[in-house]
Amino acid sequence: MSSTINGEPVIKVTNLTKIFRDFWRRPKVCAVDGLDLEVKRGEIFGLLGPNGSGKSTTIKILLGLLHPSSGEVSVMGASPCSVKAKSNIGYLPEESYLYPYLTAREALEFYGRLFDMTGTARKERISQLLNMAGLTREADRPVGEFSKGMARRVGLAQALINDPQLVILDEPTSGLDPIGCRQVKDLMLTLAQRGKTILLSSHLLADVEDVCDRVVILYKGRTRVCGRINELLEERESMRLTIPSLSPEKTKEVLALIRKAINQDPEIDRPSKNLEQIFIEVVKQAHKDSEESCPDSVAEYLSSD
Amino acid sequence: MKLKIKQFLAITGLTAIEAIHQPIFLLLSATCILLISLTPQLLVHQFGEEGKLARDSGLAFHFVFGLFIAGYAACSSLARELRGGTASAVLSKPVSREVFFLAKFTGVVSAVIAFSICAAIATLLSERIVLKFYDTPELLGYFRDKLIGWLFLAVPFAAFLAAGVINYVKRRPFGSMAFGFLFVALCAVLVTGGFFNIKGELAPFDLRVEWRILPVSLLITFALIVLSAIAITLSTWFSTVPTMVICSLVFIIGLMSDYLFSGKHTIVSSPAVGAFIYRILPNWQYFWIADALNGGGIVPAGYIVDTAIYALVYSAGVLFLGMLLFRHVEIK
Amino acid sequence: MTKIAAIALLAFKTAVRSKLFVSLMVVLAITVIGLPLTAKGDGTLAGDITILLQYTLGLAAIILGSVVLWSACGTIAHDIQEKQIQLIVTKPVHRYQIWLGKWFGLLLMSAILLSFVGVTVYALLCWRIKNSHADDIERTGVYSEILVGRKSITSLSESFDDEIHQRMDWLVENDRIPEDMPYQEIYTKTKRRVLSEKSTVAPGQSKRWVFKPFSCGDSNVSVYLRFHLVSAGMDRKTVSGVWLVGTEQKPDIFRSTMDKCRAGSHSILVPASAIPAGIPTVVTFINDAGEQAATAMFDIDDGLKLLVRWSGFKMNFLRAIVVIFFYMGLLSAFGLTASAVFSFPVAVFASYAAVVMLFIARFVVLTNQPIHTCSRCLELGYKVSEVQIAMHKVINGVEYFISSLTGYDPVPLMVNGMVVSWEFTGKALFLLFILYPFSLGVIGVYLLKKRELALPII
Repeated sequence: MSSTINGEPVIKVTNLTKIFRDFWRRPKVCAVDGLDLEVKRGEIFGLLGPNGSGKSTTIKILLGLLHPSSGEVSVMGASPCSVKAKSNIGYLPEESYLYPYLTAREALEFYGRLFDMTGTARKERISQLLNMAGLTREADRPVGEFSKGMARRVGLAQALINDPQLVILDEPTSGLDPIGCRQVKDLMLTLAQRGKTILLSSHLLADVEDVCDRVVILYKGRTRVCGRINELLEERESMRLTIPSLSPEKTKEVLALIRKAINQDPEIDRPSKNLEQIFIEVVKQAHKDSEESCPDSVAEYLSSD
Repeated sequence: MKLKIKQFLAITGLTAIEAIHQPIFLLLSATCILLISLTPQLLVHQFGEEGKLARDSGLAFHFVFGLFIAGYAACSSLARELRGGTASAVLSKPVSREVFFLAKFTGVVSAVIAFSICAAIATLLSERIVLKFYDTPELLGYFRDKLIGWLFLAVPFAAFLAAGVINYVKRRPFGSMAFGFLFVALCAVLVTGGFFNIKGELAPFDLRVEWRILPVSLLITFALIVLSAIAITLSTWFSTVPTMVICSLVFIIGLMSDYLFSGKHTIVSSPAVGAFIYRILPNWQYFWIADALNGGGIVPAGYIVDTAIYALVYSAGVLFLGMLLFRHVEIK
Repeated sequence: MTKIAAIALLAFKTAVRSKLFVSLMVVLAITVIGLPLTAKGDGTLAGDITILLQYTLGLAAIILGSVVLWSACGTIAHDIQEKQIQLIVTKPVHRYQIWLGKWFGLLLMSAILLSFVGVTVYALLCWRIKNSHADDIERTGVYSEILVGRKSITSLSESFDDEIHQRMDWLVENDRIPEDMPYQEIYTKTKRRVLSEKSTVAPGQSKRWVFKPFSCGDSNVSVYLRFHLVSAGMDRKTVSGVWLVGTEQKPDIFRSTMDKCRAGSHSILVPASAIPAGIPTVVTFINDAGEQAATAMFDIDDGLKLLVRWSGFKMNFLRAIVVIFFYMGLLSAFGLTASAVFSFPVAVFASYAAVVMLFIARFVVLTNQPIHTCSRCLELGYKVSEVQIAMHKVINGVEYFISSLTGYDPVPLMVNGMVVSWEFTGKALFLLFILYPFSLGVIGVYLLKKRELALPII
């Protein structure tokens, strides 16, 4: 979790409403209904909710792709339609939406040219991003031939090409393998440590739980719950004590002591690794055995100040 | 077998509905009907055979607009589905590629036939209302069927209005509703015309249309079916733009087929090669026989049967090739 | 600029890699090389050259134009449909940069394809001339009548208003005007009648045309006198007479005899020495007298012209190709703006329908008759209503607009060996490549700005 949060709001949404209308201008669907939201600099903010809860619509309004029906929206202190503000935004949509005839390198080259960046800086960043995405070998293949996960990696790379201050990620881990997911999560944490703000929309609650500082849960376009993730998850009625493995005799002694202190039987279990950790260890070992070079977890320019 | 037929019908129906739902289908159909209804209003009396110009224009609009509809519907129903991923959802079910391919073709053909029926009724009406000279015990002089002319002209607008109202009240899709109303309105004008004579007076029921136009419209529909087969076969390998470009080429070269590859003007030095190309390309001249109606002529039934067999054999050949190609196509 | 260039390059790369470019190249190659082989001329070298220029270049331009329009309609609409535009507009890119980038991309594609067409047609032209069995006279004819850029100088128009008014007075005073016939119609008919009478030369009589001073540049340059004879009714007699070219003082510096000339367009070669420098040129036609002589009637819509060599064919051809390129620019701009509003098929339909409507409207406005408000008509009680004047102004405006769009086709000029002048090219550049695309661009960018680009598209 990030430790560089300061009070300055990067995204400020007040009473946002978005109504989709039919041809006759009659309301068809109310996708967002009076939403208030504030995301601070350096924060990883999670946008949660079931399908159709208004997460993607909110994100698209923040990016100026949809216009709000009512309410105030400010992104980096400017209107969502401001072109200047977009110099500091990176966006990964829910699907990658890349030009199928371009190669991965050409695609990144294209998106890089849309920013004021010198040729050498752009080339350097592209090579780091390709390395980070593990696509150095595939860099000259058309994106149309890529698997969903590979296209997703190119999508993520294009979102980061400008070293943005605000990164908006819509389902960033969908289609990625566990290593890719871990990489994305590490990346988010690294970026947040550097004071970047991240707005994350995801269905994968474990991902959100791993990285987010604060979350909002939406339902039918309205906020249901909003708060710091550790506060929301904390069970105040119980606590867990983790100690090294003990012999059966010692265990009995410790349990007796605790029973005496709380006047109740404590529960005892062994902490277990999750499947993600095991998968990553196995694949990393396999990489080492096959002497393949491991992709960088985070591009150099993204991890250094 | 029963399952295959069920699958075939389901895909056919879906393809036809998808094609008719597209705004471009409605736009092309409505424009075609509007142009056919405008022609007799703009034509003044011509020397020679009356109604010929209105009839020929109606048939020509039917042919040209039909070609675009057939080409575009075929491309969008197969090429787009193959690249968009919807085809993979269907083919992951126990549906054979052959059934899928043939059902797509039949679906496109159904949409083309729906359009052709409208165009044919419009051509019948157009011929009826054009300015003509009458010398009968009841009528003498030049008459334009004004009442039916105005009703006919109002058809596309009425259809759009009705579809708009239904869309507003019932929230039903505008495109397909408007096309449905277009058909209903054309039939209504045709039947209404039966109760009125050419001067707009009530008269004993008689449709007063030249039914001999219908065989020519039927032959044009055959041509459109052949083109749909070609377009859908090409769609297995090419995306929309190259398919449309090649279809246009096949159409243009097919029209000049008689001139280019046979007879003394042939541009091909080897007669064998010329004959080969001549047989491979569809000869659209077989299907365009509007001139047969000149001077009160009719299209012989034998000719219709021959052309139907030609269209059937040609389409079957092209579709067979298409099925072979489709077997090896990788689907996203 | 980098952003626009990046988007332009992207549009071009997409066209090349989606096989659009290659399939178009094949179609153009078939048209440019195949058509001259299939279309049979009249057997003369001039006929072959005309086919190459008129049909081959003309058809190639039409095919290219329609595909450019088609692709333009797909460019933005496709990006919106496939949502790729979402990744572009979330970068610091203005909507005008997207529009311009796409436009330049299409221009790059058109420029390459048009260069291919131009070079191929020119090469075929050279090859045809080199391998022709035509004799020197025929070759000279081709070089001086087709493979050249000539400027056309029309005679000074004379005003016949007094005579027209006199005739109208006479018609009114003698009660010759039917009650239901509008004065406007009478004026138009009378004017036409007077003009056609003034273009008629009876046997034994003569007619003079005056041309304002012009320079031939070089005394070796040949000048052609072009006239259009119309046949008088059923009596299709031939006309014989003498043409004189000179000045007011010396009208017969050059003299040419015309023998048994039929109806149609004809040219007579006039040496440049017969054209006076700095003073008006006077051309006189003296119709033969005698029993066999016939009345000569000159076309009032296609008046007498002096055709002067202005530039060589190479530059003329190049300028013509450049003007065709400007048309591609206009079509691309039109398609792009349509695709900023509509989905791809609807944009294609709307733009093609607009092009067809434009050509239909051109014929409709041609029938627009001028409103005449001469004092005599007013005295006679003829009044023009405000509505009529307003309608006339609207139609005039439409006519001007349409001719500014369709009046820059260089192919007919080249076929007739007329110059595609720098002035013509400049006007085409301003209208077709700057003014109209700019206006369309402003509309397109505005609409693109207003449009919600992430709305679902059905």
